[in-house]
Amino acid sequence: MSKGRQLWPGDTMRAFFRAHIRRETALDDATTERLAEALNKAVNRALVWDMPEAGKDNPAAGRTSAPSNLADLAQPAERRAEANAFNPYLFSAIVVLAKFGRDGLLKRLQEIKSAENLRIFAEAQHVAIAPKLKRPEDIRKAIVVAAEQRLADRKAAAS
Amino acid sequence: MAVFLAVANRKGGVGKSTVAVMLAHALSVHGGKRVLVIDLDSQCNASLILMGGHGWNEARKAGKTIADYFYDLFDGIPANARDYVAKNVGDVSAANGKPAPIALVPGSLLLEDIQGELYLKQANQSNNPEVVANRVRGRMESLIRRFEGDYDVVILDCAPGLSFAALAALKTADKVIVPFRPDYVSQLAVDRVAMLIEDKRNLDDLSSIPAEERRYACLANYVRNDDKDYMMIEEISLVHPVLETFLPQRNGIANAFDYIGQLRPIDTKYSDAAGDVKELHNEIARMIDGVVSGKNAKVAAVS
Repeated sequence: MSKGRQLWPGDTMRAFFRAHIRRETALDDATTERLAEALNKAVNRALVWDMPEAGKDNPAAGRTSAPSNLADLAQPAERRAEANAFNPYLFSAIVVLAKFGRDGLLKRLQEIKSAENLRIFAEAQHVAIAPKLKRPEDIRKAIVVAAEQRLADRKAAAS
Repeated sequence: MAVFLAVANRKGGVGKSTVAVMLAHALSVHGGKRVLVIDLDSQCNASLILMGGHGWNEARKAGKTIADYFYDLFDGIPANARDYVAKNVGDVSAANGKPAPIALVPGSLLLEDIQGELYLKQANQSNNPEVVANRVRGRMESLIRRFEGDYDVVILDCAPGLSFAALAALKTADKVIVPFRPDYVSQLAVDRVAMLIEDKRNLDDLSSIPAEERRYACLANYVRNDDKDYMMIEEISLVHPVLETFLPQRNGIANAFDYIGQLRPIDTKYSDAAGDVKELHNEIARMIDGVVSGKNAKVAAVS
């Protein structure tokens, strides 16, 4: 099911861009059309949806501190991420690992400072890490190992 | 000389029939192509979207479905392939207000049974199961190719799984469109169907084929506007060519299942997804042009 309602349908959006490009530039029709389509596509991948209000039916929203008890930890990563104002899909551990190797992934993981957010990241990206790990540095290393395992599992599943 | 496009994925529920019908609508209306859809899925969704329940039932009663076609012609019984084609199907009008030039070989609930029967028939002639399977698949392939002369594009809507008909379609296709949902399970399904299409045994061998030389392209479907889905698409792009066009979750696409039996413009049918349909058309039309150029170059080289 859709998460929201599209506010700006494709044709209307394209016509809007086309009109503005024509007004502001002297580009030919074909280029104008191409540019309008490219903008349409780009905006479609950004936010043009009427999303449900955050927190309306989410009791965890608005909380800023990390979860302090087991009940909090049992909540799905997405909900905990929302509570922490953290985006666990900021980058793909698998893509970074495949493109830049384990050092590249370790470096990128430095952007995530707290142990809780690293945990949320791991859970959201399906890279399992041991719950006993506490130090961020250990969790980062575990994420790299788990990401390598996931890539290996994918290859094994395909063979 | 028709271009054969298969729409396939071993996984169900990824939108194969929706995409197959959407392509038929778009290529016929926006591209002015003569399109034939062959419904190779015994769920018959493409047939129901294009003919409605009544029209499809009439085709079944008349013995004019893909199962009848395979069964009747398998042993070389002289029959005209065109007799199994329903013309001007769909509820979308061309620019001139007439029905969009879409034809259909309707699907059949009996397709799986018929394939079993054809296998048993062939089994009388050889003890080797692989030889028998290859014969059935090969014969189906040649029967699918019979429609080549009358259309610009033949779209093969495949069933999930690996039936003989689906394998024949994958073998016949100039290009295979692989719709997928951006989730982890779909990733594995895409890996498997891609290796099958390219006849590779593992992902490393598959990755050694440059993306532009692959015979397939993946199409992200049911895409939600969030980072999670885009991240998943990026992961799939690591190994596979993915079309630039994504199909988002929109009412216009969900409602396009409904056959209303009255002609309407394509933009009305797809409403808020009309722009997506055009974008998909533009990208696929470029792909088809590439296939046609390649075929023409081969013909020129031979002559």
